[in-house]
Parts: sequence; C-alpha cells; structure tokens
Amino acid sequence: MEIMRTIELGKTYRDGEKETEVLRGINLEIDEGEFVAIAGPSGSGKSTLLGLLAGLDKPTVGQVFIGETEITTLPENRLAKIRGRMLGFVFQSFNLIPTLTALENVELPLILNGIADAKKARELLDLVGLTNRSRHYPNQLSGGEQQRVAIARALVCDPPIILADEPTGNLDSKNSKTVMDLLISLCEEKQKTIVLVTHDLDFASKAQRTVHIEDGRIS
Amino acid sequence: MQLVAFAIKTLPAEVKSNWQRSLIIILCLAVGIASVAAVKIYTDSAISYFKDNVKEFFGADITIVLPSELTNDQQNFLDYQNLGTLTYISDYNQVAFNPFNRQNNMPVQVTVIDPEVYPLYGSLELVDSSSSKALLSETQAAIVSASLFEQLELKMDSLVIVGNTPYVIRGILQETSVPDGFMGRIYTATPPQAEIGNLGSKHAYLKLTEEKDIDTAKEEIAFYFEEETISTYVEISSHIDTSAKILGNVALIASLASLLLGGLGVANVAQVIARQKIKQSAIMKCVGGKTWQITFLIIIQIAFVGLIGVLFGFALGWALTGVLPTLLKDIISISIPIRPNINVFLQVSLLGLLVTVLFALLPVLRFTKIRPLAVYRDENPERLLSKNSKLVTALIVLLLAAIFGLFIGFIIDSPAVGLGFAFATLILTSIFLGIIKLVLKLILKLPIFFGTSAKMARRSLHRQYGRTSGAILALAFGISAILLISFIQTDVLNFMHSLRDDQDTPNIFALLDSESGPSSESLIEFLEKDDRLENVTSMKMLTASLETVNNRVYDASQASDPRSSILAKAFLIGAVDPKNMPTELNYTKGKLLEQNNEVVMEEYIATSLGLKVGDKIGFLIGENLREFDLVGFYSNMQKGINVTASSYATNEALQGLNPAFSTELLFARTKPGIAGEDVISTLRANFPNLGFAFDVGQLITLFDTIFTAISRFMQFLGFFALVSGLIILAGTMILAKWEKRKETALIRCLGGTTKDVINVQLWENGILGVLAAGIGIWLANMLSMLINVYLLEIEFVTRPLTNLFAFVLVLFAVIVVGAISLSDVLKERPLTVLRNE
Repeated sequence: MEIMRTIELGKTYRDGEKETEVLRGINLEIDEGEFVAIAGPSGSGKSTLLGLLAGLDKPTVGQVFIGETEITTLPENRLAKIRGRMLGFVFQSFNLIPTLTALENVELPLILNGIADAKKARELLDLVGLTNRSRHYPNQLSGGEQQRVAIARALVCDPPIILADEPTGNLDSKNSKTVMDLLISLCEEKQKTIVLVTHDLDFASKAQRTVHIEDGRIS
Repeated sequence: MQLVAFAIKTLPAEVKSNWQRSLIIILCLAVGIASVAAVKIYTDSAISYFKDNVKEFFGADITIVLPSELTNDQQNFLDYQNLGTLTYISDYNQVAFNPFNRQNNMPVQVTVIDPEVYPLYGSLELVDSSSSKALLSETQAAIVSASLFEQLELKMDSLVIVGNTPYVIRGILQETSVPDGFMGRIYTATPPQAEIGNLGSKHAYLKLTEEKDIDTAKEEIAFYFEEETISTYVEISSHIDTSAKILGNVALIASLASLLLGGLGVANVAQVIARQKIKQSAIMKCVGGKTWQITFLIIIQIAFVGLIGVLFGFALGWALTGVLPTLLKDIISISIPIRPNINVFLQVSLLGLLVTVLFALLPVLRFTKIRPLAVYRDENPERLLSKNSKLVTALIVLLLAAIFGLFIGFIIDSPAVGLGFAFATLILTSIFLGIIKLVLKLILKLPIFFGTSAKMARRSLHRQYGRTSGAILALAFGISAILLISFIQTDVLNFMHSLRDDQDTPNIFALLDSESGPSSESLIEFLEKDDRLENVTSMKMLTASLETVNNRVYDASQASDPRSSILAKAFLIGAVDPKNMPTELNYTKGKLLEQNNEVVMEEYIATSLGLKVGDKIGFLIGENLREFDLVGFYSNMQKGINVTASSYATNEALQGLNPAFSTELLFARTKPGIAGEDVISTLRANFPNLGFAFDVGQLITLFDTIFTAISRFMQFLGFFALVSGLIILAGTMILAKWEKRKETALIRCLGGTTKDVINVQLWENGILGVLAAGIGIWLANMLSMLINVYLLEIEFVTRPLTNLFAFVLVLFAVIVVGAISLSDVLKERPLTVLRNE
C-alpha cells in the first residue's frame, strides 16, 4: 500500500531573470515499509526531491501526497503537524541543536508535538546505544554518535516515514555502516518506510529499490 | 506547560553559550528598572508615610477656620458640643528678633496652643525628647524651630523677641516632621501682644470620640459654620494622595525613558539571538514545531534572562532610594522611611518583563518565520524568511504599544495617560529612528571615506543600520536629557538673577495692611532716608468686581473658564502712574495705559472672562461703579516681579474710592553692592508691626534651591538614560563582534596591520559618536529653545563651549566603549578565526 506519491512533480528556482529547472516530471510511488534509495550525482536534484516529499519546499508544478493527503497546498502550520506525526528526518550535517543535550534533542519533537511521554526519549537513546551519553552536548559527541542521536530524534514520535538525506556523508566508514545497519533494521523490524538520499551506490544497493535521478529526471 | 518546562530546563545551557548576550539583556533592563524602581519605591513609601501620619500632620480629625467674631450660636455650639476633644489654635505672622541684635531677625509663625490638649495626635517632638506640655505650662515659655534658633543665634533658656513680646526658649523642635521653609516657627501658650503684627488665622481643632462618624460630625458642624471652613483629615489625606500620585507619576514616566531605551537594547539582542537561531528554528519546524511554539521558546528564554535583569535592577533601585533623600533634601526635608512593598515589586517586575517580551517579540517573530528548507541552506538562510506584510507588522507594533500603554495606565491609575504615553513614545521613537537612519545614510554617502580603512568602516556601518540606530538614539536621548535640563535650569536661574541684579527693577517689597501696621507715608519716608536704597515708590491695589461689559450686565456663564465667576468678583487693580510704572509690562494686544479712563488687563484673565481689547467695562469698587476702556492686554512682566495685580489703571482714576479691601505695595531698589536682606532686617527692626516685607534675592535663593533640587533629580533620571545608551552601544558592538572578528582576520590575511584594524574601528566609532553627540546636542538645543521662547518666554542662549564639551565627551565615550568592547578582537590570530568560520 503506497504511503507517498508524487505526480508530475517539478521545481524551478528563479534568481532574478535566470531560471534553473532542478526537477521535472517526477512520478514516484513509495509503499509502506519500503526502503527506497534516491541516488544520483551531486546537483542532480536528490535533496530537492526529498525536501518536496517532506513539504519543506513548494513545488513549481505537480503534487505530493502523504497517505491520502495532498501536502503541496497545505499551510505551514498544517505541514508542521504532518511532519511531526508522519515524518522523521535524518540529515547529513546532523542538525542537532548545540545548546541541548543528546536527551533534550531527542525530547524536543515530543514537546513540540505535545506528546507527554518522558520515557520515550530515553528508550530511543537506548535503542541507538547512547544511554550513557544522554547528558552530553552535541560538541561532546563524535560524528557517529551525533548521527545516532539524530536518528533517535527522527524516531521519537514514532513516524511511519524516515527521510534520510546523505546520513553517512559526514561519517567514517565504520560509523557509516552502523548508521546504515540501523536504518535497515528500522525498516525490517519496525516496518518504517525509509527514503534514503545518497550518492554512494554501495549504500543505495542496500535499499529494496533505487531511484536514479539525473538532471532532474528519474532515469 | 511542557514548552515552558523545557525552556526553563534548557535555559542554563542557553545562558552559558550566550553569556555576553544574556549579560547585555540583564544590564539593559537592570539600569532602566533601577531608575523606575527607585522612583516608585520612594514615592509609594512617601505616600504611605504621609497617609499613615495624616492625623499627626493635620493635627486633628476636623478643623474649623473660625471667623474673626463668633456668633452666639457658633460660640454655644463650640462650648457645649459633644463631638470629642476641642482645642483652639491661633496663628500670628510676626517677626522674631535676637534680643541683643534686632538686625538679626526672621519672619515667624507664632502658634498659640493649649499645651494641656495640643497636639491632639502625636506630640511636638523636641531635640532633647522632653515634654512640650511641661515646658509650655510656664507663662511666656516657647518652643522654637531649629532654623530660627540657628539663624537668630539664640540660646537655650534665654529670650527671643516676637514683635514686642519676649519669650523664654525652653525647647527646640525636631524638624523631621514639618518642613520649615524660610519662615521660623514658635509654639507657645502665651499669645503675643495683639496690636503687634497681624493675626493670621484662628482654628478650632477637634478630635472625635471613637463612636462618632466623621461625615456625620462634619454635617453637624456645617449647621453652624460655612462648609468651606471645615476640613477633615480624610479630605486632606485624599488631597495628599492625589497630589503625591501626580508628582510620583510624572517622575515615573520620566524614569521610564531609560527602561524603554533598555528595551531597545533587548530588541537588538533578541534580533541577534533569533538570527543565530534561524537554522535551529528550521530544524524545529522539520520535527513538527510551529512558528508560535518556536517564538514562544525563544521569548521564554529571553524573558527569564530579563527576569534576572529585573531582579538585579530592583535591588539596585532599592539601594538608590538611599540617594534620593540627598537629591531631594532641599524640597522634602522629612526623612521618609523606605518600606518594602510587594505591590511595587510585582508592578515593577511585571513592567520589566513586559518591556522584555514586547521589545523582543517583533525581532524574534521576524526570524522564526523561517521556511524549514533552511536546514539545507548553510549560506544565507535569511533568504528563506517569510516576510510579514508591512500592514501586519504595523498592526503588531500598535498592539504591543497598546498593551504597554494599558499596563502603564494600570500602574498610574490612568489608562488614557498610559496609552497616550505609549503611542507618543512610539511615534517619537519612530521619527527619531527614521531621522538617525537617514542622517547615517547621508553621512555614508559623503565623499569623506578615503582610504581602505574608511571604506571598510563605511561598509560595516552599512550592514548595521538597524542595530546602530537604536544605540545612537539611546545615547542621543541620554545626552540631550541631561543637557536640556541643565540648559533650562541655567536659563531660568539666569533670568531670575538678571531680575535680581537689574538696577531698574525693584528688589525690596513691603506689603502694607490697610487696617494695621505703619502708614505708607512713614515707611516711604524711612526708606527714602536710607542711603542704601533708590527708586522708592508705592502702588495701591484695590479690590473690584466686574459688573458690566459694553453697558450690559456681565454674564460669567458665557466665559470659557469655569473659574471666571470667581475671577470677575476678585479683581485686584493696581493704581499706577503710567509714566512711572513700577513694572514694565509685556503688551500682547492693544496699547499702553495712558489716560484716566483706560485700563489694561492680564491677557489670560481677560480671555478667560471673554473680554476683548476695545470693550467698555464697568468695575464696582466699594460702592462706586467706574467705567473704563479696556485698551490693552499684557502677558507677563517684561521686567520686575509680578505683584499679582490682574489689571492696572491710573492713580487719578482710582483716587477717592474705598473698596472693602485695599493694600499698598512699596517698592525700592538697593544700590549696587548692597544686600537686600540687610535692608529687610533693618525694616523689620524698625517696623516690627510691618505686615510683610521681602527681598527678591531671598526669594530667588529659595527658588534657586528648589529648582536646582528638581533639576538634579531629573538629571539623575537622565543619567540612567545615558548609561542605558552606553550599554546598548557596547552591546551592539559585542553583538557584531563575530563580523568584526572575521573582517579583522581578512584585513590581516591581506597584509593589513593592527594600525589598519584600529583605524577601521576609529572611523566606525567616530561616525557613531559624531552622530549620537550631534543629534543629542541638536535635540537638547532645539527643545531648550522651544521651551524658552514659547513656554517660559525667556531668552534662549546658545552655549558653544558646553555643546563642544558634551560633543567631545560623547565622542570620547563612544570611542572608548568601542575600544573596550572589541579589544579582544585585536588579539586573535587570523587563522584561528578563519578556521572557526
């Protein structure tokens, strides 16, 4: 059963009179519990596609559906609600908040989404093997640890979809493998839908399906 | 609640990581709150003190001003009343002398009391704590005020002469309870000789029995005495409350200036914090956060930092209340006990928090409206800010101003004044910020920026229009407040001194009572023989009632001023020789007084009564109706002292008239180098029964003291505004430090030396200093000129040296503050900075 769908999705950036067409005619369907990799060279439009799937940006043309809801026309506050309930993000640069501890970073989505479950954040840190690092600030953690905190944060509201944008881009090979294994186990054991953006074909090959993007089109 | 708890939990780490910014918020608020808290604590303590001790100050529950002769009914009522304890007080205005040197004298108020009963409340507190009752039981015994005792160089248990009556000094009043002014006080049980001096007034003081209700008692008394002559302590308490509240509110509003300037500092910091948190805001949006939640989180954290500033400021304000009595000692001689007041604490704390939140809200709201896509954009995420429409921003600003105004209105018990103050401040601030931005832009366009350092400084200032404008405004406001008060104080005092020193202006005045005291002829003869004096003249003043205007009966109901009916009945016409006027009038309409059928009138009174130049008016003087042509209006005295006459006519026109009351005023001028007070002492020594005599110099000295005390107090508040300005400036520089750090590193990488970096700073701070000083000095001079010319109607004097001194001082302060704020930037290695980037 499909959980995400795009219809003739396109995005053009305008800078003064100059127009750059980043994505065009993207038709994509992602099923519930599926692990999909979006692969392509740098500048091909992968991250833009992920941003449009998450409702972080508005498409120039086309539609994006999460479940039955078309998100392209929704106002920002409705989108925030959908992101909080349906989506979890993992970024290449971790994007943790530097003044919050690991535990507080994981707690943040719970608080913003009004979920009163104090134990949940600790459970998630336990899941990613960082129980003993919960009081540490991001600058006191290694890159791999920061990314695992980011994964815990992505999972804490129990969203059915995880969007991961180059999650191993800033990690060494050992930590990259740990993170990939974690994502795969989330898909297999917890039936999460994973959308992974990567330019690394080795990691892409671990997904159930790989969508190749080149010059803004699915190739 | 979860959000609040989370914000508090993460606050220590936020403060630690942003300690410099937190410190700026704390200092900005602390200075403003200290000034507001000091004023509020002091005025509220004063109001409470006066209200709590109102019976001791007032002396009774009810007082009645007794007529010179009581009717039988009144006498019977007073003799047989059963309202409570009754005592009589008689006040005499007299002159007291040192028995060994009559030149050493002073006007006094002699209060004759029954020591067995008086005072009905409290006690006459003496310096040696002895009992006034025991001391005054002896005939001719007196208790004197400390100022009289010192000025007349009296001795304990020796004599003081009042008029022709000798008294033995048995005690000295502790002058903590009643301000003494320039008139001494004497309490005695023995009246002075009746024919000497004049009886000021006689009162009945009443202390009600416990079961007696004060309003009922007043009603009973009103059956026998005119209602205007009866006063209750409740009415006095209410008057004190109203007057003190008005004065307190004026001071509070003046003190709010530095708090509002502190608000500008908070807005600057909030903008930097929110800008720094753009990426975090975007991350929070990615994990489900809404704009209001993110705004709320940042505001809560800023508010908590603000709360530290508020508490610190309140403590500072409490400490400053110790300074206020010294500043105000010349106008409030009473030592006011400062009392802890939870209401004041809550009001001031809430005010501080409100200022923090209101000033932080708009900049924070601007940066939290980030689109979540910013998580992907490391370069210039500000391009992804959703812009509010100008209308929405304006509406938010108006709403915030209204909230602030209503809160101020709540504190001062007048929502309309609070709202007016808030919107006036908003409008003025917007205008001045606009002017500052415009001037800054114009300066940056001037062809004065030669060389790399100057050009870099210009670019840097270009980047920081918003933040630097706030700092310049705060500094300019601070310096202008201090200068303005100083200018007005100097101009007014100079004007007063010029009156005192002008040989054409009389400086010795003696008011003669028509019923008692010496004749004007004998006094004039005495004065003319005194070779220290010149230009001895006199002017008779007659009471009159305005009866007709243009041959019709005057109708007071048509006049603009509700007090007109009283004014019309209480005219005081000065009889003068038009060729030798005792005062030079400043004519605003019509012509000078010349003919016997003419009258000139004070413009305000005339317009209040609805009169015009050219009207024919009829005055009832005694039993005679005299018609005059109203030929001119005057606004005030061009030279000389206002002698309270509301109109002038010629001596001939007023001759032979016998009004119910008339008085004669004698004028004289001391020769150069002669002290007026010595002449007055001689006058009192030779005419102890003189109604009233004063030297303008003494009055001006008294005015000098009071006016200087008020000016000092206002400058004290202005000083806070100046300190706020300097803190905001330092804050602005610290907030822009990361930009400065990068710029300095680049200059060095490109071969620049420390001297080049210092040059850039000097250019930047120099321009800020010039602008702040220039605008502040311009504002002070402009306002001073407007106030002098249009309000006080005195000459405006330009002060190039003072202005230059203030200019150099502000410029120097800005450069020093800039150098201190950015001193560590010079020490950093360029590579370290660029790596951190």
